[in-house]
Amino acid sequence: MEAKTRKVMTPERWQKVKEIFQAALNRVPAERRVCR
Amino acid sequence: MSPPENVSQLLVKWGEGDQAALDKLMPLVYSELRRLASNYLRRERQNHTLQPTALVNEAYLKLIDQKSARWQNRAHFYGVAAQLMRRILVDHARQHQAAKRGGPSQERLSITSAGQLGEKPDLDLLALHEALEELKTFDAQQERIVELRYFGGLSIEETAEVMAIGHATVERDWKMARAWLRRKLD
Repeated sequence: MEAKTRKVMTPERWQKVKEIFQAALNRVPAERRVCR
Repeated sequence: MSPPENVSQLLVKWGEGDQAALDKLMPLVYSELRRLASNYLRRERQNHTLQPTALVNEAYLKLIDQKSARWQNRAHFYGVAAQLMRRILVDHARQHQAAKRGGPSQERLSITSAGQLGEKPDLDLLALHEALEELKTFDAQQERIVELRYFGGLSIEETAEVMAIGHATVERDWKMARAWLRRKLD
């Protein structure tokens, strides 16, 4: 059976996510690419 | 002997930087919140859904002299109360869970807070608490923001005041934390 792997969140990894999130917020809505 | 200080006076002193005032304030607020929560939970028999912010608000109205209250003091009161409210409700849910373990009808304590966490109308309290404990391991600031907003009902502005950070930071962290929690609790 294939084991489920889920990356554990670390403060460093979360900080990177936060930077990306902030960069997206800094863009005007029209410049944000929509992910579906 | 000087007369005992009331909650309003302690709140003002704490706002002025007197940390000893906070030590005196905490048990007073804890005791009132606990009394309100116990009364509520005793009245409701099965599958409670409660609004923690309503209880915090009731405690504030009972304990604080409204004439002398400033909004900054209000925000700080709610900041303390949010933390205590969470602790009281988690203790209650754990005690109940231990008492009922193995029984046929497990009682569940759900909380709701005016749609603050989004789509779900109510949330399992212990599941939320555990998710917040996990969030705290990699972002303590976001965990505190959710606690203040969800258990204390603080606005973005009040949360920024209590945490001494900018509004934009609170808004961003609130959005991020909510997205993470939604996924975690699904």
